[in-house]
Amino acid sequence: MEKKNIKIIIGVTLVVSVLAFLSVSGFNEGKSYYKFVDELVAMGPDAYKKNLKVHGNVVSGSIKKDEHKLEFLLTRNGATIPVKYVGKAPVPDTFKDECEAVIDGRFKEDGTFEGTQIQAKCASKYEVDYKDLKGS
Amino acid sequence: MEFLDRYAGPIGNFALILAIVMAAFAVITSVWGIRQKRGDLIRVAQRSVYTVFVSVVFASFCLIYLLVTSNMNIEYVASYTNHDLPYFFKFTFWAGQAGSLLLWSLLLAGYSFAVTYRYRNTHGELIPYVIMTTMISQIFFLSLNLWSANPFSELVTVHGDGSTTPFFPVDGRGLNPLLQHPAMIIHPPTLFFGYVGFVIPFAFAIAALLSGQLDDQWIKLSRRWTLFAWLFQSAGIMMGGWWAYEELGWGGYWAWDPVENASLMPWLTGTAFLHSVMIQEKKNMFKVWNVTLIIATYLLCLFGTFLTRSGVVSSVHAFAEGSIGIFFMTFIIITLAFSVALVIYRLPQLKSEGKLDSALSRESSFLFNNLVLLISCFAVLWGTIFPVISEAVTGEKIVVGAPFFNKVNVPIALFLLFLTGAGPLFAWRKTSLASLRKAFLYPSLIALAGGIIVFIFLTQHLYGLISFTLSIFVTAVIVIEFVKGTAARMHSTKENFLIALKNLTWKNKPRYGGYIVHFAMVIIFVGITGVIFNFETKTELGEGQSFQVKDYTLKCDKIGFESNANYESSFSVLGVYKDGRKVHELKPEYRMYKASQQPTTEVALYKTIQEDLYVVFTGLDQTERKAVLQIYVNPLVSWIWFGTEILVFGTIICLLPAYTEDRKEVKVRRKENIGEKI
Repeated sequence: MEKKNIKIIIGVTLVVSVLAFLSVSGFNEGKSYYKFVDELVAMGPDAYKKNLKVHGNVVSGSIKKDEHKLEFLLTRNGATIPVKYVGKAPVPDTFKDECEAVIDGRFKEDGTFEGTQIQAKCASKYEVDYKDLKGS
Repeated sequence: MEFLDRYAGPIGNFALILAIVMAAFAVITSVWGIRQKRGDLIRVAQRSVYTVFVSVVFASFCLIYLLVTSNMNIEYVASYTNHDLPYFFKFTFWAGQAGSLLLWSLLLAGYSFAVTYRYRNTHGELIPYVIMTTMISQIFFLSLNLWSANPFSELVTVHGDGSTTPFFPVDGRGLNPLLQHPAMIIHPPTLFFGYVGFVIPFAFAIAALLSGQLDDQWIKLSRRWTLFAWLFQSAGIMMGGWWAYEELGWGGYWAWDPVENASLMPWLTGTAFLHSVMIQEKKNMFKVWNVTLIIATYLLCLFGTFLTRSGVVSSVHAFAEGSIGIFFMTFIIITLAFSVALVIYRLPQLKSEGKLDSALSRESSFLFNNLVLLISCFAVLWGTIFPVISEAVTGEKIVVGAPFFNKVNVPIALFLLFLTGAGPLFAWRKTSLASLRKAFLYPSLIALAGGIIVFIFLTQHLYGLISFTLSIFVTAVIVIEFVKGTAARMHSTKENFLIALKNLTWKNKPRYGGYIVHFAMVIIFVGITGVIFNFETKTELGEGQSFQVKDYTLKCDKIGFESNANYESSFSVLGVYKDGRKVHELKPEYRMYKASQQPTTEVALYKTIQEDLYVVFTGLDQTERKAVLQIYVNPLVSWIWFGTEILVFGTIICLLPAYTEDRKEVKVRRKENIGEKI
């Protein structure tokens, strides 16, 4: 093989391996397990060491909010967990009673979920089927 | 008018049926025409394409008419508008699924029309295949418009005996308040112009493969179309960021959301394609690579639309799931299989005639550019679809977050920034070490000096330091290129500096336009790098109270409420003071939209070239009557939007017709003729 091609192959290999290394380490850092509330509870102690995203519905009337803290209950398929929000960003506009929410964070050994980020989707009129209006 | 009110829907629907029939007819006649070498059939195919375009335009007008007249019998109108929605937003028929797919069809028909009309008398060996390819996509999208997400379907009441009568809701559900923003009016069409636009180079590539005309003709013909699509894709992505920044209120513009990723992936491969075609033009190499890249780009455009529209990956864009996912996936797989088979079939003829002469050459810099762009694209793809894959394979859904995307893409971006500067310093074929040393000397010295200043006065953050230093390096390279070229021109033509600079650019638009785009990327990089200095805080302010954040003092002048037909809002008026002087007034708001009963926060921004002061009104403390404010100071963000403007400018220069001596002669002759007449 010619010399110049070897140089290019070395260069390509170098670039690819550095990026592969970064991918793998970034992947482990960035990955989180996506669980519904009941799945999370069923995980047991396994859940404490992992980055998690927990998906459920906010229990109506459970939101306790003041200037320093935000706590609420999240439920899905019969399981309910308390969530404490410790993130810095403001909670999204769509976050309210009964909304569907995905919380990033860690599951603590005392059974509370410490959330750092909240995504919320309201079962708003957008997604409601027109059935409820039809024939009225 | 009454007639229109009743029948605009069915007429629009009929227009779509006509369009799909004519698109099928265009496919048949174009293929038949070229197989039989019959010009009359090709003419028929061309006219069919024109008819498709006119029909889809007509259908779009029907939909706009229904929206503007608030015809609530139409499900789409009732789902995305309400009577009191400003007209401004009623015109934008792409807010929902069905409308945005109609927009796809419309743009696709527009592109097909343009390309067919432009080459109606030339390139008979390629154009029929181009028509065939675009029209097959057209049939696919029209069938979605007709059978999967029909914007004209009507609401009916079903009675006990099975009979139906039209149903008119009193009012519609209203437009999602987050979409009630100027950027949302232009962002989707802009991005779609990009997505859809890649169909043209794709169609040319398929045409080249089918016809066996595998020289660089298809690249030359599609160059402008590719750039055009790339321009819109770039602008569309940036506008999406702008919308997210100003509307979503979390202080950032990019979150590695699946839908953002979907728009980024074809941009990455498209950018790789724009660079690698130059090698085929110059050296007749990389032929397989280029067809593969453009095929991948178009497939990623389809895939992006699929991701956005099918709800397969959950996203802030949160579009409803529908039946279209399966249709889309099928179409993508068929297109992929067909394209791959075609490339394999033509593989023997696609062999490179040139070869790489040296590791230190322009070609190899392009090779590395392509390599990392592709790795970046692959990483983004992997991270985006991993939740789906992991769930399918292991049953456990694993989501990949921003740390992954950043960790891979930040170094890639910096390496690309380096290549942006270094690439032009390498000569084609081979660069001697001596000339390389000479070329690198000044830019490197300038970058080194700049880097030291940045290190001492600005930041010790590693990536930040590298980014700023490389930005200086690339800027130096570009400035030196312009200055050297201009100086040479001044010397040979005796023009003054500005005239010489203009003529230099004008006579070699692709090259110097390209440098301008590179410079725009530098500006955008600087803007993005500003993120390392971001600052955020939170406070509560009652009327008359003030708060210090960085160099600013915020004084709350008023807390108030207002209400109109569309929404109710509570807001605060904040005076912004810097060095004791009032520099701006901000009015962050918290709105509750009436039709949708959805709250949104309206961000208030004080933008300067140096930094943005970004204030979000997150709520009202009722008991103490205090505004709860989230405050961000985001340095250099304006640079991103400014860089985008430069990018658009530079790309337009690349797009302008090439300078030819003939044109000059024509002009001179015209002048002479005028002279004679006088």
